[in-house]
Amino acid sequence: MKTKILFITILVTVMLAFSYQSASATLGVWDIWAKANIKGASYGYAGKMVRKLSSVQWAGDIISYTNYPPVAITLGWTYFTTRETCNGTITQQVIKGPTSVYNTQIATTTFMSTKSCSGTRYGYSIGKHELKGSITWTPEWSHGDPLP
Amino acid sequence: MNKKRKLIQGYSLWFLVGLTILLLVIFQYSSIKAEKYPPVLRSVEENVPGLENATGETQKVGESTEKVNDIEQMINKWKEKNIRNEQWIHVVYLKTSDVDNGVILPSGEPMPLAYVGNDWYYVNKDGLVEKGVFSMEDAEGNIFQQSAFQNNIMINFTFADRQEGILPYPLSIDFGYMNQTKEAKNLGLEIRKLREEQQGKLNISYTYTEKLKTPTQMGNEKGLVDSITIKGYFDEVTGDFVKVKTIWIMNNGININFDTTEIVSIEYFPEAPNEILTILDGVK
Repeated sequence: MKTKILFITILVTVMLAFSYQSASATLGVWDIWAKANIKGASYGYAGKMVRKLSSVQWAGDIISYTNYPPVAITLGWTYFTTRETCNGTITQQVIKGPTSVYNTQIATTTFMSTKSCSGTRYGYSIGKHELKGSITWTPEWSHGDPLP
Repeated sequence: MNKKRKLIQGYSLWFLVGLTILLLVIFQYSSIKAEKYPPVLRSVEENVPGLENATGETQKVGESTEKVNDIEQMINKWKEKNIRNEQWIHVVYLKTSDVDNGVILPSGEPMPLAYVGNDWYYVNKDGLVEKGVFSMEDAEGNIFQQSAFQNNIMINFTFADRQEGILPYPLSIDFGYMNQTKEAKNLGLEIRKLREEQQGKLNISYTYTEKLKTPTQMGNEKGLVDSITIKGYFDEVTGDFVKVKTIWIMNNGININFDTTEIVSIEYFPEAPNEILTILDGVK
């Protein structure tokens, strides 16, 4: 009986520890979406990230790539916006136009100087990816993180 | 027989515990290493201009610590004077910039570079902003962008954007300046103190500069930024926080005002005006 209780306690603790890690802030962590069989057995990937670089700088990243195994296809994005908000109002943004290459990967970074804010400040990477293999995949989403 | 069964049961349970931990570790690592961090992603992360000062010689840490302590004392005193829990805090400030902010309003017009921020914050008993209405106004007093926050929902009415799951947050009436100077001190950056007269008033300013490792294109500016200076001003007589400036020093030596925030007024009230409460009603 004691062993059973111990087992359950350990199991619950381990599960809680792991769930806490995955629920913690995502600043500096890639937000990756995947699509199977983009060309043959290869996967297509679309990623966005927001990074804080120092007390006055941050960066928005975007990437489109293939893997397992990497295969050259036409990939990129139709637009990429890096945006900063303060208390929900947009304070600055950089909009980059379409980018497309025939390769296994493409990525870009927009560097931003932080605007001072009295409340909650967020940085966003927003864009529509475009990966054209045997199928065309165009995921579009906005990835935001608080900028302390 | 019973004892043997119990022993087998015990070993099986420990085996299960071990297996669970092993599986979780394998799952966690494989998902991070294989899916989130293939080399292609790591190469993007290494693309950081970095700070020259941060890796260089530590500069006058003791002196910087003293100055950061002075800044903290003045900001805390100023906060005590202007913020009350369970009250509405009305903050009016002036923003100016010489750099295109890249925001196009729904009218098709670019967002002004200079505007008045007119914010109402309700600070709860824990000292956190629980609700608020935030407006940007042009020189004629017309609101060109507005958002509101309540029940963990932030709505930008101008751009019809709705964000859920925003937790109550601290009110930084120093616009984050104190935390910036603390970070600068931790990086070993030198903080300089100056006494200067501005518009007939004597101010004390505290300045630090982050030098980028390589000149970098930032935001919508075409030129390359070499260093970034942060300068905070305090009233010499009252110790009140006056303004904070972010100045870009370009690689051609020119200084650009990237962001200046100047406090116009701060007041607290037991109730917000009806027009503010009506706007808040729209947060659903």
